[in-house]
Amino acid sequence: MIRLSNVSSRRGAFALQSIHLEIADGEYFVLLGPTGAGKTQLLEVIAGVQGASSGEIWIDEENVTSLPPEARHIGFMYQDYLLFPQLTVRKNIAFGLHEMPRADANARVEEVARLLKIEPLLDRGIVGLSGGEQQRIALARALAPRPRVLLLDEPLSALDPQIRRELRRELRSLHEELRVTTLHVTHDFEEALALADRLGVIHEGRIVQTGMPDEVFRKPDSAFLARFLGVENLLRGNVARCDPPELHSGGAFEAVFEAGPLKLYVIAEQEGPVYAAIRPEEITVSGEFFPSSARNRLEGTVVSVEKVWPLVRLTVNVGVPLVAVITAQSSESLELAAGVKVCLTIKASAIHIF
Amino acid sequence: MKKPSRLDLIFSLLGACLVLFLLAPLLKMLLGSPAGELHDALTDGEVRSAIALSLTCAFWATLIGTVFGVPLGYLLARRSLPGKHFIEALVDVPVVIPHPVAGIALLLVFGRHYFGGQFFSRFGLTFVGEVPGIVIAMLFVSSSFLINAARDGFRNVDPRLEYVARTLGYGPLGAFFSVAVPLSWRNLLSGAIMMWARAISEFGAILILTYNPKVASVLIYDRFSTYGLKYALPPALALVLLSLSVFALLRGISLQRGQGRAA
Amino acid sequence: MRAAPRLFMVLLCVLFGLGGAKPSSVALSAGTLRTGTAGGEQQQLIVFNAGSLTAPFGDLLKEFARLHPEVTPQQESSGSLDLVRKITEFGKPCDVLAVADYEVMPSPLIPQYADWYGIFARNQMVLIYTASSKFAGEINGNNWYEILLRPDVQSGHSDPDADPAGYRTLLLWQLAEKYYRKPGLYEQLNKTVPAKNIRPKSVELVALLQSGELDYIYGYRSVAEQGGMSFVALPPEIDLSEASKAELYSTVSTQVAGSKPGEKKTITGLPILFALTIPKNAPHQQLAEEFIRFALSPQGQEIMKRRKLTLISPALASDLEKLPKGLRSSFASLGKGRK
Repeated sequence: MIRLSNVSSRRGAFALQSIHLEIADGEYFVLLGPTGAGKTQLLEVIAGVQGASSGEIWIDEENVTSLPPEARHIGFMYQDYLLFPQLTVRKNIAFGLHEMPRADANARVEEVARLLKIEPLLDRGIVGLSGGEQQRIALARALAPRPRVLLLDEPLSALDPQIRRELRRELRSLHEELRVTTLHVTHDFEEALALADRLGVIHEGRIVQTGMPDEVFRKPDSAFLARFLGVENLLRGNVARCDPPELHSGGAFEAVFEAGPLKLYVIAEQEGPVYAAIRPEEITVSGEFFPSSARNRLEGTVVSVEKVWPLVRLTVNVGVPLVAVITAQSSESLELAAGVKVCLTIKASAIHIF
Repeated sequence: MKKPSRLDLIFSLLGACLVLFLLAPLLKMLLGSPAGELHDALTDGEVRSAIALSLTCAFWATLIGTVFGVPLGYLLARRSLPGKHFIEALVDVPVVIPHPVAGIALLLVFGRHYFGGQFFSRFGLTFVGEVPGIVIAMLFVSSSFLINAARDGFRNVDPRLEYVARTLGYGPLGAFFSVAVPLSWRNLLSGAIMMWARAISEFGAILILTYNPKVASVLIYDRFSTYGLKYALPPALALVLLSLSVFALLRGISLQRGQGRAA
Repeated sequence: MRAAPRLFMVLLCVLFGLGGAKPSSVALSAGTLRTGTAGGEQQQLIVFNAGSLTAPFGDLLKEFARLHPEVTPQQESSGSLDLVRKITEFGKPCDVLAVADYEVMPSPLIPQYADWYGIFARNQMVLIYTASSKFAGEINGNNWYEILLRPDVQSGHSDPDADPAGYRTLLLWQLAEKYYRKPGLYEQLNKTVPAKNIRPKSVELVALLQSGELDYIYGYRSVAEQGGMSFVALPPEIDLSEASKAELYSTVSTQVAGSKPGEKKTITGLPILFALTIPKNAPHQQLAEEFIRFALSPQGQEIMKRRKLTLISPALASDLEKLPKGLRSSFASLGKGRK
């Protein structure tokens, strides 16, 4: 388990402020954030490589705040792997096993190499290895001493998309097998969604939201988060109760959201100035209106059509520009192009107000 | 075959000028000493002991410089010490001081009436007129080469590699020896070679502190001023040739290791 | 921290005050004396002088340049032997050569490189010391050797193979043995200067003296006086100062390095006399004559005296016939032997 309470740290331009974080035993926690948010710094503080100016760090119920890195028993992996260039693969992996008798260490190295499928590489030097191979070796090196927790700094960011997906699957299955408490930081939310048991978001040195992945993803807590997570339609406007008001459970009510010429039916919890976020996938595009349960129907003109195979991204002007995403096939069958008139259908519940 | 670019031509021309400039006096020296005289010089007991003394003292100076200078280089590369810029500038100062001035400065610290001299004499170590005086003169004028080389060598090692070593159970000293040193050994060796070379060539500072016993540079000067050029060239040449072979050997080691890497 | 740069400045000044640190150098501290000139061609005057003449000749050249603005003096100082070698082995151009040991003139300079030389000053061997030297309050011209023989008194002299002041010390010791009628005194005094107390030149010895490393050094009176240092005057029977005692001095001799390593030559005692000449291939003959005339004039003599040079007046020429006409009036013949 990892617990950070009120951890702050400052290093040059980077600062972490009052970080609270709890990761349960065996949990795979992904911390999501843009570059410069302090992700690496946080990992280094947990590892003990950087000092915290205040707060406490606990690993497996042990207060490690004042312990040096070599006493914390953590596994660490940097984004660029940082394998030791002067050593062979075998010696790299065995690096943390210096306290073990030789025979045991060798056995452990073979074990971990088998696990990560890099046995044939064991006696090679570091030069000329591919990114994927280096990543596995770095992982093997971190895992060999059986660390209590695993800290991964953007482990997949330096790889080709193909390899990235493959390794993502392997990380997942590795975790299933070993169940090591893992803190993985990244800026790629797909990666986060695919791997995380729980998710956190870090922005400018602060943790802004934590929770189950789809919770966070579907209901971002802040404008920054919404933008960062790829919520493309973000509108600023005002919410007012419907007349007559219709109440929903939990104090939410039907309301009308206004932003400039746009008016949308939404479910809200309070009135006043708000943000409305709509995921592009949640906008249905049609040539004509069709009967549906959705309360919002908008007419508009296509401004641009962007092909991102197998999808198509449409920007439609309905008074304000909205971005919708549909399949390429649909786009073709609707014969969509700039200037064409379309109908947009959006469910009130799909519009996230915050 | 690729046609040489204008850059190649101009740079080759400039480079050739400098190479000739360095080569010509050395060749002149070589040709100015008939083989017979060179042989005499090499068998002359006085010349041999002077060269041996130079080599020994330079070795000791380099050893001391390494033990104290490599850690300093590491701190300068890794830490932001208070007064770091001052220290870095200070390290470079001995290089610009006229050598006799350096000798006098050392005299004022390590002479028998001064703090350094009195402190060390308690351990039976005196400097003026003794071999340790030669060693400290050499150390003073040449240590900056080693310190700077060490610092630059360590700077080129990603500190995160040391962090990784820390997370894998090594303490700061362990990380230093298992990561920082192996990855910068070429710089360290190069720095040591430069320091050793500079130490052997030192003259003005040594002269003030210890004239007898004579190191090679002092003997050569002595021969020159007493007997003339003709008798100074052979021991000078002997020293140059000997130093050249040491360089070649050491640089050869550093290159060979690089190519023989299992990488 | 601030002390470090200041200390070095002090050291630099000390060094230049000692008359130049580099044993063999080109254009030292007194260096290139340039005077402004309104127009017209600049003429060079190249002067090679012994280290102990750097200050007086520096002053002479400065004044000479002031009187003759079209002249650019170039002064080079080193050991007498080095200077001679520059002329004989390297063929460096020189207008006026002034040495502290006149015996280099007849050989090797004459007849190949010069025709004549003139003796213009003399010197004497003294013991130089400082206020912190052991028994400084006690020492005088009579008890000096007895004090030097006391345990823990450190004395030094320059290398006899490299510097005339060095072998002159050895000759002095021999003369002392005779003069004081103490057989074995030479050996005893020799033991008081172990190899570690020997330095190539007086410059380095002075550094050791002033830093307290040595208590007494053997050197020239001119060096002591120029440096404002205390000295013990020794009996003229032993200090090689008087031309009239030349015969006495010649009764002692010593062996120094010969012309090749391993060879030795014998040096016999001679009075210490400063000599000058105009080498045969001097590029500026006329100017050289003018300068020497100036140096030996009452004004020039005044300048040299201010720098503690003990002059021989009138200056004595080795061969009046061979003197340039312009200098005939400045010299008397050496044969006349006035002190």
